[in-house]
Amino acid sequence: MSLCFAILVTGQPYSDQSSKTALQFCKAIIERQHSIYRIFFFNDGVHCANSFITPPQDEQAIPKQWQALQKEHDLDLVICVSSALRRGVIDQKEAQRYDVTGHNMAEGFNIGGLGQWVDACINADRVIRFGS
Amino acid sequence: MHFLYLFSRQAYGHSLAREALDMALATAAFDQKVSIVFLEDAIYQLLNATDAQSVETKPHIGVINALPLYDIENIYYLDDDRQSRAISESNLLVHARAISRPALQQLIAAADRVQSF
Repeated sequence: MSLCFAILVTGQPYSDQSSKTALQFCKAIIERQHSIYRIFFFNDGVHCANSFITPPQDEQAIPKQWQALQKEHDLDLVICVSSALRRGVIDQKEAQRYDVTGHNMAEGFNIGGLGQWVDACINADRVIRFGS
Repeated sequence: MHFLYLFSRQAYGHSLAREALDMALATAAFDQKVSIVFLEDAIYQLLNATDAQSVETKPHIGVINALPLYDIENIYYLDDDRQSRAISESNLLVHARAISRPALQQLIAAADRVQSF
């Protein structure tokens, strides 16, 4: 049976394992022919969309891995606007609105509201959160 | 759809307490039925005398008090949690009700979506 998943990521990359586990979980369910309705990045999880993250060369760039997965499978990656703005993850439009110099939201992600998470919960068969 | 939120954090230790509460409000704003159980240290979120000025944070109690305005009336805590923390019932918000562990299990079993924060 094929299931549709709504994934919530609340852990920030490099501080805990959860965002990497979320990545691996998403890859695993796609491999098994399940689908992903939406991946919603909330609370500290919004840091996964920060394109300014620059790890040492021998470490994996987690935002880039999300981007690659998004591109390969046309996934809907949404970062929560209120979580993101509090933490300085910002796209071009919001940067203009708040008169902030520069923007750092990685391509492949979109900024959205909590309504999009509620919508994902309603429409998916399974709801899973990654984060402590 | 019935959304059940299980919270287990006190109000000011981690932002997830506040942001998860915002999620519950958003869920109610989208016309879904919402129940919240404040487990373990989350029962401290229900104290009616909290004052956040000393930690320079927006008072949590404002959102907690707003729950009934969003039609979130199923607000619960476990009486075991209250007793083990020596909290008097009179110090808890009047719209929060004690439930037993079996009732919590029934609530979890009956809900369509269960999320814990």
